Amino acid sequence: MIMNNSSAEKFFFESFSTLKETSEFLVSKGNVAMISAGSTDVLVHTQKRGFPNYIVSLNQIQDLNYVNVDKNEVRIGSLTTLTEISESQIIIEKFPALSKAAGQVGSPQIRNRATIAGNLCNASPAADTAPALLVYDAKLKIFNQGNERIVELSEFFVGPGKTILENGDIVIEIILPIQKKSVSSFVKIGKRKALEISIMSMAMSVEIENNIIKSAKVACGSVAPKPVLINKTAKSLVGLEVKDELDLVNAIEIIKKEVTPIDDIRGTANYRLHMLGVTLKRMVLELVRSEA
Amino acid sequence: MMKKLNFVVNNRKYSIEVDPRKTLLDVLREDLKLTGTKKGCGSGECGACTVVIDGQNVNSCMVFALDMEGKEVITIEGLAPKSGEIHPIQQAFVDHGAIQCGFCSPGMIMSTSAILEKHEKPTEEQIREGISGNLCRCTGYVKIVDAIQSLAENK
Ligand SMILES: Cc1cc2nc3c(=O)[nH]c(=O)nc-3n(C[C@H](O)[C@H](O)[C@H](O)COP(=O)(O)OP(=O)(O)OC[C@H]3O[C@@H](n4cnc5c(N)ncnc54)[C@H](O)[C@@H]3O)c2cc1C
Ligand code: FES
Ligand code: FES
Repeated sequence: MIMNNSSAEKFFFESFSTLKETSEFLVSKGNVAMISAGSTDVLVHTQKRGFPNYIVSLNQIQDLNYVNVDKNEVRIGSLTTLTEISESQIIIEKFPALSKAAGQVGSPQIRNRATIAGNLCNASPAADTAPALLVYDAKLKIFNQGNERIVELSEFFVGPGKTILENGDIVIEIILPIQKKSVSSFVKIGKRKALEISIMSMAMSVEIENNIIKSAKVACGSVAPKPVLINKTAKSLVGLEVKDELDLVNAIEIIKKEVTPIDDIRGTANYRLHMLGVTLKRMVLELVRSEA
Repeated sequence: MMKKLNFVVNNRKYSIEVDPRKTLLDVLREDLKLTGTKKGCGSGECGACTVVIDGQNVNSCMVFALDMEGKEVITIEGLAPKSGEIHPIQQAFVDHGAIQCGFCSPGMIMSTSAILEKHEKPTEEQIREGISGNLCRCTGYVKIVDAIQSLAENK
C-alpha cells in the first residue's frame, strides 16, 4: 500500500452500493486504494503513515451484517461489529471463545464500529478474534469481481499486517462449522481491562469425555509474527486424563518450546512464555471442570 | 476533492462539502462549530470525542465523516430537551460532583446516554464497563459511577 499524505485534491473517498463495483474499483486503482470498514485501524494507520490516494468504504453495501445459523455452520457477515458478535446469543452458546474475545477488544466505542473482517484483515499478531476463530476452524469467503472463493483462516495470515488477500479481494463472510461436543474458552493477558492490546492471548477448544481429552485445538496471539495454531501442544493434550495440574506438566514444557515469542514494549519473551504455561494450565483445568 | 455529505446532527439536517480526509470529530468541531465534543487523543483511546450514532456510543475521531452519509448523530449539544435547559444526565453529574475540569464530561455523558439506552437499570458492573472507553484524569470515577447509578435508581 502506498501512503503519500495526499492533499485534499489528491485524496478520494469512495463508496459503492455493490460488492462488484467496489471490487472492480479496487482492481482499477491497484495499490493506491485501501478498503475501510469500521476504520478503527485505517484511521490509526493514516495518522502514522499518511493517506493512500483512495479510501474505499464498504459501508454503503447492504447485507454484510448478519449472524446466520443453519444445521452445520454459523455464517457471520464481514461487516458485523464486535459488539454484535459479543452479544449474539448463538455465538455466546456455540462459540464462547469468540464472544469473549470480541467483547474484550478496545472499548465499547471501538467495538461499536470495529468489524470482524477488519480485525482479521488488519492482520495484527494481537488481533483478539483470530485465536478464537483459529480453534473453531474458521473459513473466510472472499469476493473478487463477481467470483467467490473460500480459504481456511489458518492459511490467511502471512505476517504482521500481511494476509493472502490480493487486489480487489473483499472478505464477505466468516464461516464457522458448529462443533457439537467441544468446550472452549479465551483468555487475554494485558495490563488493564479496557483499551489494551494483548501481551498474550490464548483460545482453546477441546472435547472431553470422563476427564479424558479426546481432541484439542490451541491458538495464541501476540507470541509470533501472526496469530498461530499451537499444534504440537494441542496434540500432547490428546489422550490425557486430567485430574489436576500435575497432569499438565508435560504440555506446559511443550508449549514453552513450541512458541518463540519476542520482547516488545508490552512484555518480555520470558513473561510471555511464563504466561503461556500458566494460561494453558488454567484453561485446561477450567474446561475439564466445566465438563465434569 | 471536497465531497458532499448529507447527514443529521442533533435532529438538524446538514448538507455540506467536506474534506474527505476529515473525521466526524473534525467536521463537528471545525465545520459545524459544535465544539462541545472534545478532541483528546485523536486515536480512539480517551473517549473525549464520544458521540451517539444510531443509539450507540462511538469515538467520533475514529470515523470518516463521509461514512456518516444518511446517518443520525447526537452530540452533547443535542442531549438537552430544550435550549437553556440541561438533560437529567447532566444534572446528575452536577449533583454528584462528577465533573471537575470537565474535559471528559461531554464524552462521559454521551457514553452514559448509550448505557441507559441499552440497560434499563444498569448494574455497577455494566456502568463501569459502559464507561471503560472514557478516561477521566480528575474524578477517580467514583462520583461518575455514583451519578450514573442515581439515574438508574430513579428510572
Ligand atoms: C483505541 C483502539 C483500541 C484497539 N484495541 C484492540 C484490541 O484490544 N484488540 C484487537 O484485536 N484490536 C484492537 N484494535 C484494532 C481494531 O479496532 C480492530 O482490529 C478492528 O476489528 C478493526 O476493524 P475495522 O472494521 O475498524 O477495520 P478497518 O480499520 O476498517 O480495516 C482494517 C484493515 O482491514 C482491511 N479490511 C477491512 N475490512 C475488509 C474486508 N471486508 N475485506 C478485505 N479487507 C478489509 C482494511 O483495508 C484495513 O487494512 C484497537 C484499535 C483502537 C483504535
Ligand atoms: S479524541 Fe477520540 S478517543 Fe480520544
Ligand atoms: S473531570 Fe477532568 S478529566 Fe474528567
